[in-house]
Amino acid sequence: MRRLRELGLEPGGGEPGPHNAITDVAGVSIGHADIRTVDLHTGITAIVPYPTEVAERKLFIGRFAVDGGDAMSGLGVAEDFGTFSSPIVLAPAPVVGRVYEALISYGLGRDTGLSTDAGWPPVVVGVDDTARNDPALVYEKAEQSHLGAALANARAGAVPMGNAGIGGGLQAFGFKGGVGTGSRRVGDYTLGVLVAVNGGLAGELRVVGYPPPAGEEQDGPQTFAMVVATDAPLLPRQLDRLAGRAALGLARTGLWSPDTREGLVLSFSTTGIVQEEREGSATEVRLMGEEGLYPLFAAAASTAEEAVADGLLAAESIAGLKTLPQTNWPEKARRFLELQ
Amino acid sequence: MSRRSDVDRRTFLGLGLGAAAWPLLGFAGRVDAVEKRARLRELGIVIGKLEPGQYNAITDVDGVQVGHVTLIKGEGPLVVGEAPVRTGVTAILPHGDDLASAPVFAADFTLNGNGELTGTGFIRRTGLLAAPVLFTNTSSVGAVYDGAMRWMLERNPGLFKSGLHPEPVVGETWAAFLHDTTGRHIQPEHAVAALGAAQGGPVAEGCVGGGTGMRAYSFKAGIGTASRKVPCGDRVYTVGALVQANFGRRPQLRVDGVPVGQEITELTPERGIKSKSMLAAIATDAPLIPSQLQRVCKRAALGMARTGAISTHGSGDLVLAFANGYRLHRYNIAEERFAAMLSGRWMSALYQGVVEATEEAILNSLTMAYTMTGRDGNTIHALPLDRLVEVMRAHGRLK
Repeated sequence: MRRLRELGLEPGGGEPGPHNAITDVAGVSIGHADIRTVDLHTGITAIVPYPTEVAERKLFIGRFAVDGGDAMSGLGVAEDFGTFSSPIVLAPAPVVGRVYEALISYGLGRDTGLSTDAGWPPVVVGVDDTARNDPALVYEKAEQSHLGAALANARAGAVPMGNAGIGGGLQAFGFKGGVGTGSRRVGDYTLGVLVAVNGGLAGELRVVGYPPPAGEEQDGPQTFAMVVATDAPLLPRQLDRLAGRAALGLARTGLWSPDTREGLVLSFSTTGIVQEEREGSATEVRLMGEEGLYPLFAAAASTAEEAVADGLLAAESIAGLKTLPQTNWPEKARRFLELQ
Repeated sequence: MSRRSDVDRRTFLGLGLGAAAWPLLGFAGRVDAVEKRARLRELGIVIGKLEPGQYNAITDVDGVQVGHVTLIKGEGPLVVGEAPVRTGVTAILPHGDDLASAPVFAADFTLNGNGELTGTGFIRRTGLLAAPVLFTNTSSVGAVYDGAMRWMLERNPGLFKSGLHPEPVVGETWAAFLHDTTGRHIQPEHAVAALGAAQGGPVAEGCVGGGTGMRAYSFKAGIGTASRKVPCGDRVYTVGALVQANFGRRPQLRVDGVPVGQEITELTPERGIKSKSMLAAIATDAPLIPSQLQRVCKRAALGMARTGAISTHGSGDLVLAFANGYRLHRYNIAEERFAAMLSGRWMSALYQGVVEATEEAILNSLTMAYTMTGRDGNTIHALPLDRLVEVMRAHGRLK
């Protein structure tokens, strides 16, 4: 498997971090758990926002949703307080409750006071991966222990893409979909994304503006989910705006289209740490000046665009779903770019 | 005449509007000349437990300024474009310096959306208030916006070159029961004059500024204000509310929980154009970031609810909150900056202050407004203070 950059195609400007992955944002780790049988291709992906040796940490979060988005727990706190503390878990939609329960157990295991403070509420995003999965079978086979496995697997560094974790059963543009990731250096900051590439119609995929060979027409979910992480200090409203700009990158690929039924982008800052327990009435927060936001916005869009292609290139064929070809079209796309 | 000077000395001063800005001299004699108005606390009625600031007004938040321009002219049958006029503009400034170069954190909240508060798109995008806040009557939003923009450009000719394009925040409620709203008597210069009149200290209430033609719970109402001092650990912060009250059905009215509207059933208007809406501005010097101010806004709705209203289908109940302790000079920098943020553990104390101040501000708008007759002879009676005291006594709330 080769990444888009190895094919000579680089959406947008800017340099990626060392792994071109969301884990290039310091402290962020990713863990996958695969849930596979002959008939089942699913899994769970956990985005762990701060190192596990940190007992508790409250971070700012923002959100952009197409038509309100779909299954997501923790929304009340995210919208009202603009904060979260839990790992963000992308899970098959039928088992959001089970994963929620497992996250509560995970939190209580770390700190028995967790049920009312840090670590609460769990942030679980339901992803519709029923293109090749029977939801009843997903419901039967996914267990709380799969979340434990995903969290135990969480690592910084290179991130498994394609069919890993929640990527197992995704379908996009008539191809096998999957998990994609990427990152950018933005001045002194780093920004990274992880996207569940799910949805998009056959023939509508664009990579750096170029149309690769069309996939086969498929009936399937038109839903995506993405998480954006940055170590730039952004307040909740600024993170809302960043999430919207990242969605523009998805639109460039065709993943966010008029046919999208649900779409959710969450964004968080690893350095906007809310210190609630300090003495005194107020604490200090950092925030970006307005002009500092625009390079981050641009990076969010181009990183999202690249991560969609990387997720498709990394995916492996299942149950008759072919993968995006790796050859033939990239040189045409390069020529297309040269003619621009 | 003493009542008029009670209403708002600043209304007359330094505006250059002369007689056009104030009623015919005969007007004062046409209403109940002995009508004495008072603030709720002067009647011995105390809302909540927290102490008010020095003036029990939004201006107790250091730096906040308020100015009114009041237009009252003519009487009798409605002649569109001429009279009767019962309207005005109330201006609120988070501080006295140039707002575009020193914006403050802000947020807004729509409880029920059938109203107008311009500039909220800017506030939601940036989390900032960088322009003045003005309350007026429904048909005059455009003129007031226009006047506010003139005032902003005069003070800061580089306004549109700064990268920050502030939008005046102009809210409205509907004054048609008393006022020739179709005639659109407010001109941009009235907004400029209200902004020019803005100052700290005591704030005129009742039938002044944007509240001139308003009514609440079928009594005359208008502008009201109140404040609270809120202990938060090692600091005491101040929160202030200013409302333009134009909502509520008589039976709903509650004062400190007492169903006053069910006890005072007389003095209702002869005909029933309903009033529906509330504008509220909440100011604080507590260090709040925009997401915290959004949460503060919602508590103003609770203050409204404690006076009895339910925020009807047709209401425009809109709230703006700002924190003026931290000014974002050089908003457009590319670098990061620091700001203070109130610890979460003190948010509930602040909410208590917001709820109490909003509730008391609404009630002050009722106890300070005087009976007014306007369009087609329509009269809205003032809440009779002797009856109010009597009812509160009967319920054991006053000695």
